[in-house]
Amino acid sequence: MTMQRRDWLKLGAAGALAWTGAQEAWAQGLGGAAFASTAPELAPLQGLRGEDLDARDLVIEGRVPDGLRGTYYRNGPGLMARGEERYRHWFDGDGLVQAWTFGGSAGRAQVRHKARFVQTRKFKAEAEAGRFLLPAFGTAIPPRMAIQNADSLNVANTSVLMLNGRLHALWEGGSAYELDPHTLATRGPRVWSPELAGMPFSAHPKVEPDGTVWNFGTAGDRMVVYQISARGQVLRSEVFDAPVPVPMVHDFAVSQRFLVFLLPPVDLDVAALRGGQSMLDSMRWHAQEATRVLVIDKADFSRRRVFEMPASLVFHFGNAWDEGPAGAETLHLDYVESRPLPQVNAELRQVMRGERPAPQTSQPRFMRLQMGAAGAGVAGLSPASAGRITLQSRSESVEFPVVDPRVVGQRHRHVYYPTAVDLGTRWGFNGLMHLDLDSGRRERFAFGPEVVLEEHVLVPKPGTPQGVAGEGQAWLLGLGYDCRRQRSFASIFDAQALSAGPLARVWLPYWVTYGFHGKFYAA
Amino acid sequence: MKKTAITTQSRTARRISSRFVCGLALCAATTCGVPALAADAPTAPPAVSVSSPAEMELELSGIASGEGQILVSVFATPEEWLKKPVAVVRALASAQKDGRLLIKLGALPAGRLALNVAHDINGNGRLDMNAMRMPTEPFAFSNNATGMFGPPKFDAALFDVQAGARLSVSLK
Repeated sequence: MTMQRRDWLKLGAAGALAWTGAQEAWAQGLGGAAFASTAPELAPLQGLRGEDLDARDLVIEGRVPDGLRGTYYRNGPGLMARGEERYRHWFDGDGLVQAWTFGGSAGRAQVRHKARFVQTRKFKAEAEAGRFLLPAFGTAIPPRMAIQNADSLNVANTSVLMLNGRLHALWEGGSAYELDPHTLATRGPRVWSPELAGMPFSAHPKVEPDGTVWNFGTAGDRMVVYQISARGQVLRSEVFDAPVPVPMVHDFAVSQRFLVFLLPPVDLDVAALRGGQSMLDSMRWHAQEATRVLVIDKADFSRRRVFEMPASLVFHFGNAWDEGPAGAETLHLDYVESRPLPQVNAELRQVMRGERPAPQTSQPRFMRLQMGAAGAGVAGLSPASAGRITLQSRSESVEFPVVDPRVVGQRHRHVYYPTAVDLGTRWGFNGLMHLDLDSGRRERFAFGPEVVLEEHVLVPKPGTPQGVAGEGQAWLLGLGYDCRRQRSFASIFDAQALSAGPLARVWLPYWVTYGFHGKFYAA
Repeated sequence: MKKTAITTQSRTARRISSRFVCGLALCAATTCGVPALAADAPTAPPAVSVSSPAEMELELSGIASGEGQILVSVFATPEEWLKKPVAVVRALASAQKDGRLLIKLGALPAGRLALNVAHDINGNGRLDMNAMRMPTEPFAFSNNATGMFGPPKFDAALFDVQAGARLSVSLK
């Protein structure tokens, strides 16, 4: 699908130009020239200034499906600098939550955009001071105000979760921050119960089709797992000693019977941390050690098994499912394998300077873990628990895998990812990929190199089966950025006809920073 | 002689101190800031002397609410820092105005000391912690000293005992 000239003209409305001009002026002040000349796709990483954004009646290219009604919330690092100081790592940025609201009538969709920074304790204090006051995950800012607990450093920048009508901006080291779902105004840290105040709460809770929420948190050598009801009550939680240090565990997966973690061989050099290095610069990667597969029984959190596989770093999982009798279950896990931590961190720092990292790939992986089976794991590592691990790999460059919300924790067939197609040295993704795990069929669509495509979530089409039978009968909805137009957009694809290209793109009259994760909630 | 707020370590203080040790290891390895502190209620209520020559004032700011009590623990040596206070003073948080409160620190031993302040919001006599032993109630140190992934060093929080002088600490 090509952009219509009349659409392009609409985008050139005077107001939009004025706003983009202001954004460019801001960018210049941050060394924007480097971003623009060497890697235009990195320009949004310069960040916003902390202002709210709001735009109504967005320009729609193509046709938004009539059944797509609701709000797509998205979170990501939005503010990257204060005064002369700039965060050095993408993960540091203060959380900007966007709400894309799809309304209007049949054939006449109306889309509104709103974005507000999460008013964390840190954000408010630093906005008032006009400079950074607290250490960030990857930037060693000396503490200039009291650090009370993990929430003192909470930037609420990673994902969102709506639970029983209450919207949350998620980080992973501390509390979920509750927001007003309509205005995005910050209500404050969510306290599930007094003993869970300020606890780490990951940005990747898993919501099963019945509304049950599973989540976890890590801190130092300890982990916590939570089971939360659809009404937002913590039904169970358990804190336990992790089998290995767990300074960096971003996501997990749930199957019918298990919670599954891949714990990479990373530990923290406490001396370096105390010596003033950032949390991230104090992490040590042990390439010769194993990544631990931690499998926890959903019915009894104290039943935990640990398996081993060669060192690998994983940020994101697609899904998991299990089969077989108790004690001899086979677990199926799909995920995206990243690169070794030092490499990932070097890249994430480069992009914050506006420099293209050397081309690299994160790739799809499919694990089969036969628990109780005799024999060593892959590469002859002796497993801590009896079991056999088999890995299948694909070589496409992908990240941010998603599955249909109807199959979370159930056997699934389809996985969707942003992917890079013929991008050469350009950073990021420009396309989407659908994998049919049963047939092995791959379907893709790619924009040109001027487009950066972000995570796209599955939105079930109204009227399709609610259970597993409906899997894949959905739209893919996510965001992107056009480097030439310097505008951000939302794109909508038919997940059953991905290669046909987008059904619609909805254009902002400005750009927004790249985000990490989002969720769509039907009206 | 009338003793002023000089207490031996209470049972709860010992418990907190032992938590402090594990908390330190935990917090050193996480984004969490400062672990449990020794600010804890003495078993006997302190009697505040008004005649001590080494009386000082502590001006607290940033008190988030009028609930509960403020616990001030004073330490005399690096070895005893956050473990064994030489004085503990309590004040009702309801006396705060606009987040500010003036607390008298009576009969301080001469020399150089360091203190920590905790806002015991629920009034249970200790600094509450969550299930991962991270503090969930506000606290601060003299000089507004901050630690880097742990409490500040004793030296960073040192102040000179000077009769009639005022210290300022922010709980924000």
